[in-house]
Amino acid sequence: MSDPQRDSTSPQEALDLVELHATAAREPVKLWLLGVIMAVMFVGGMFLWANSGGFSSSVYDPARLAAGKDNGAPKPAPDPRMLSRRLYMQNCGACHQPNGMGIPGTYPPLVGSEWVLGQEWHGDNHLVRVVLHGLQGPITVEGRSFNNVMTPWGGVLKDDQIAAILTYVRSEWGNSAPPISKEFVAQVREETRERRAAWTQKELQEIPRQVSPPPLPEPTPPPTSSPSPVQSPPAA
Amino acid sequence: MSLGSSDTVENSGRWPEGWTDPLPRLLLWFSASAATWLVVGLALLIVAGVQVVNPAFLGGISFLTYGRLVPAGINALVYGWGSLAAVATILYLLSRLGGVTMPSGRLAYCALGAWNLALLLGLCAILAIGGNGLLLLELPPFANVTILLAYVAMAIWGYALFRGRRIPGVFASSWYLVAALLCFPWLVVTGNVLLVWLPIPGPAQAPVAAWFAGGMLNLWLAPVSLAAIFYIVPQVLGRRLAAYNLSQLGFWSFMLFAAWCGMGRMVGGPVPAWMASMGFVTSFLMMIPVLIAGVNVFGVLKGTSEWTLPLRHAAAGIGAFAGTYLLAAILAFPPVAGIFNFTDIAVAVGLLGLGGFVTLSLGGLIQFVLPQFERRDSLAEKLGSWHLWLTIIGVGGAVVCLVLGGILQGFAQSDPGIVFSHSVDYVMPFRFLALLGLLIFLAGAICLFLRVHRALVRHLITPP
Repeated sequence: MSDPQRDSTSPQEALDLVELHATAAREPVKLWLLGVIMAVMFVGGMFLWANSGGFSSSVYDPARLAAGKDNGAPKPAPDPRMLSRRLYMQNCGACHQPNGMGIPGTYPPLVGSEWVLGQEWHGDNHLVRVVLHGLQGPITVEGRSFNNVMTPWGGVLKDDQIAAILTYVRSEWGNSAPPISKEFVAQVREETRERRAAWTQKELQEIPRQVSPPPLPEPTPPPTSSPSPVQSPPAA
Repeated sequence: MSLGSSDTVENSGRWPEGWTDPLPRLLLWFSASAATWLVVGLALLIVAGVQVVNPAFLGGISFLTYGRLVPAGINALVYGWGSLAAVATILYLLSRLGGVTMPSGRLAYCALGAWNLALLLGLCAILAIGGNGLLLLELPPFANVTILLAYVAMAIWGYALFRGRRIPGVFASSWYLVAALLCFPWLVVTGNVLLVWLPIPGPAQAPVAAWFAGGMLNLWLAPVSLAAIFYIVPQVLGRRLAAYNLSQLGFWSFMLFAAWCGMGRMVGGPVPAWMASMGFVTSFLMMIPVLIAGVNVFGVLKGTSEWTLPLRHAAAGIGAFAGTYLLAAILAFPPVAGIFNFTDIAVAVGLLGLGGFVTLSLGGLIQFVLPQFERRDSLAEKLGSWHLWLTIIGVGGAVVCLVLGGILQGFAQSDPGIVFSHSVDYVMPFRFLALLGLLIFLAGAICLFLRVHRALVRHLITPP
């Protein structure tokens, strides 16, 4: 509860305030406070001295400038697994879920799926065909049956992207199957050039099983054994 | 001095012969407008917040789309709530600290009417045709010009009150008030001319926009809020601020660094290195005025038992002040800004500054003056108390949620393996909780609205 009488400063009360403030000059200065203030100003000043670029209008962010200077050194290649994961999340994750488990009864799982791992009658050529042209009608995955439509991706994704995604899903979440090469995807795409409709399980079962040859060693990018440094976030 | 009596009786003998003091009544009318805009602005922002969580909400209605609701809500909060409360605070406190008053409030009432009308039409224009994408410059030119003219009409009185002061000496509050009085036209004219009317070349617009948007809080609303705190605390306790001899350093460091620290948003941006560095360094150096103001206020509050409502407001306000500038300084630190500059943490800084610091301090001053229009009734006190606690809980909760969500969002954005849209999905639960916080804040604002309007109605029906 505030006291309204305190609120309206009468001239007398105001003079009391003046009196009160007259003692302020005689109050000892808090030394710790001055010390902290000077320390803060010192740190701030040093930072400004080191990072102001001489207050020149043509000097930009020092970190960026340093990155632009050493043009001789090649930029670290982005981690291919990261890019594959990103492609998967962008294109496949919505149905098959980020964890690859799908949605029971609606979207089949990729984790442990014989379609993905190339077990039983399934070959790598079937997997690539499914991605290229889609799949429809009743299918069986891990003993459970699904009846839904998968859209074709052949027109959206390039061979190397499809290879990257398939290699990713075959080696993530505990899956372990050999990679799919982009040459193999290109080969299957060539074989099925005339195909327009989505595949059915019955049609696929009639095609003999093939296995992707191991991908050719890439000449340019360095081996992925050393983790690539975290990318700096994009600037404004 | 009996409660509920008319101004004339109350002020007899204190002002020059034949004068009545129009200022408490003026403050009441200004607070009534300001509190209304607070409720309106928050309601608009909450509808926008619901659309973030559920994009289909009010989907087909063009004037209630997210891109129009947000600028309308923010402009209502800054030009309606914050600025009107600040203008009233400036006039009221300069009168109290100078021992003078205005002979008549007629000009100020006209200005208030013009301001409200311009803002109302301006907000309708934003909702009808959309803004221009420049934060706090979205109001159409007619509204900005009218608001500026109305401001000048009142600022003349502010200057006259300061010039004609009868009490010797200038107190800490007055420094901040006069500085803010000068800063508002500087900001509004510069921002409008350089960005809207005669736009400067593209690359230079971003720093000007950052300076302007930061300045509306740092140079305009924040100094007035500090002045309100520095006025309330000594008045309630009858003691002056602790470490008063440092408060001059506090004032000058505040005004100097506050003018620059809006540039902290440009860290990592396409501006010369010195601008971004100044932005971070001044944000960091804001620790000096924060520290001094904290020692000023908490040195007096220490051990006090007179915890009146305005005093609680002032204490919470100074806490929110420290929190705002601490968070802004951390966010402007270049390695941190690189990850978190474009996350909900930036929203949290604005919410804590405008919703916490400004709302609590200016709300505290309004509640400090209101009792002279109310008989000592418990409902008014309860409303005031609810406003305080609901604001603290709502704003505090929303800020914590936004910061936590922003941390997650920042790391997700910098992870090349995570698609951008997923980095937004991670924040959704936190945004939902922050929305609940905003709803609590709205409830607190409605309590302030009810208290002010009850006092206004009581004042109108009580014959003088």
